Amino acid sequence: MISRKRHSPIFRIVFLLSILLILTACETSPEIGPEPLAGFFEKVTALVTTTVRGQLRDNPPKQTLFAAQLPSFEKTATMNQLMDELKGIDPFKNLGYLIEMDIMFELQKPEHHYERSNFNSSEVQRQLVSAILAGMKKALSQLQGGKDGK
Amino acid sequence: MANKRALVLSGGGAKGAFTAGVVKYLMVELGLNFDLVVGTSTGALIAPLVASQDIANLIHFYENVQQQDILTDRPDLLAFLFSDALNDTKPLERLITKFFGDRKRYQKLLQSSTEMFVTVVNMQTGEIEYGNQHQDSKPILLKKILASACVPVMMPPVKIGRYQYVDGGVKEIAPFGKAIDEGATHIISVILSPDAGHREPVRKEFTSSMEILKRTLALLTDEIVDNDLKIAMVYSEAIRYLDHIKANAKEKLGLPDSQIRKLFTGIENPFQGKRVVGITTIRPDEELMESSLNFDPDKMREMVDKGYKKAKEVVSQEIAQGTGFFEPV
Repeated sequence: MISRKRHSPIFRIVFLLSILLILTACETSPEIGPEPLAGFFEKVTALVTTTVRGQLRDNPPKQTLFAAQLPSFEKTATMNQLMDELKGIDPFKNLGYLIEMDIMFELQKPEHHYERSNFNSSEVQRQLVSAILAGMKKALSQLQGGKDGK
Repeated sequence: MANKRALVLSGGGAKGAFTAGVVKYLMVELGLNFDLVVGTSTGALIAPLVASQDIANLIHFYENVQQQDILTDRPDLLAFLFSDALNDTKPLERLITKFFGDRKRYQKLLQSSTEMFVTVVNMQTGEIEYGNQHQDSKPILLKKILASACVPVMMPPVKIGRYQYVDGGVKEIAPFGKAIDEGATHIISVILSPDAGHREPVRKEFTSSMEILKRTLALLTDEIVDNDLKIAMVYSEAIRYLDHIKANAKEKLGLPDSQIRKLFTGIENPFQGKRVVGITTIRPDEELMESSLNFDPDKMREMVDKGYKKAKEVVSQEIAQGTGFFEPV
């Protein structure tokens, strides 16, 4: 004979409440989300990424040409040198002006007083070139669907 | 009276990435500043970043945010039975605090010369209300930004005092009305759906009640945004028409100003003190995406680039037409 165990009403309520609690707990996921950009150089990278990507999108030959020029861009030490390199290549002339606009837009803000006052210093120039190059590489990677584009 | 340039940002969830591209073109490349920015829903998340000229963070936000950063699913049956919405917006609330609540960033918003408004609908009174950086305290403004993005049923209403608030898009998706009331003379509006002539029919049968609800909301949204734009256009045309009549009365009939003014006394003039408003509309040529909650990073980046390109195209057209709203670059 099979014995049927009867649970008390209190046990049933506790059991149901536990299930509900577990379901509620499952609803909350760990919050990650993007962190706001704070510094001048990371903001430059974000703006440059969008600018380069927008100018190269739907144009694979231009993307290939740009990728081929990256090593020579990497040899530059100042923003002016980098922009001269870029504007020296006819298809990227306009892109050079647009990147300069991105930088000037960010640079004129009061919170970037340090970078503005020390704009010609080797330290600022080195970081600026590095920020622009990071944006260029990120844009290419995003267009080519690479993991670095994230 | 000085000219006042306003930016009106409509709702549209993830499609806000298109607006980010538009704003980057207008503010970074064209160097435009706005006296006023009014945003609804996703536009309310963009408005504070426009007012504080933080375009890098605006782009960064839309290119990196994912659906779980905005809302978390609640099991549908449980949500219907025990709560006020199908999704939980705690992640979005935390994101808003992170992006706008930070002391330095909030200070920048307070010091901005751009007046910012976000639209919300009061569930109890049914009226549209606004959040503003100078009229509201920080906690209230942050709550209103959240409420403005909360599509009813999909997302819970936000309690402020004894009232519950939801997405301003319930009544006004493209908030032209506020911009006009605040004295805008040129409005640049960003609308996140194509005009009626470019909308594609949906070629599938809707089988679940959720699908039908979503499609209904999409249809209502299109209707509201069409009406928002139509009303603003008619309003502007009406003022222009009245100005023409006044000019004709003076030039062709030789009436002095005092006589012309008499023609308008004794009747209520709904356009008293208002000026002609120029409207520039920037919107995509085709549907950007099927679901406005699809935060796919590749798609978002594509929309940013589309917005930038479209803004450039519209501005070039207006320069060629000589509307006088934009200076040649």
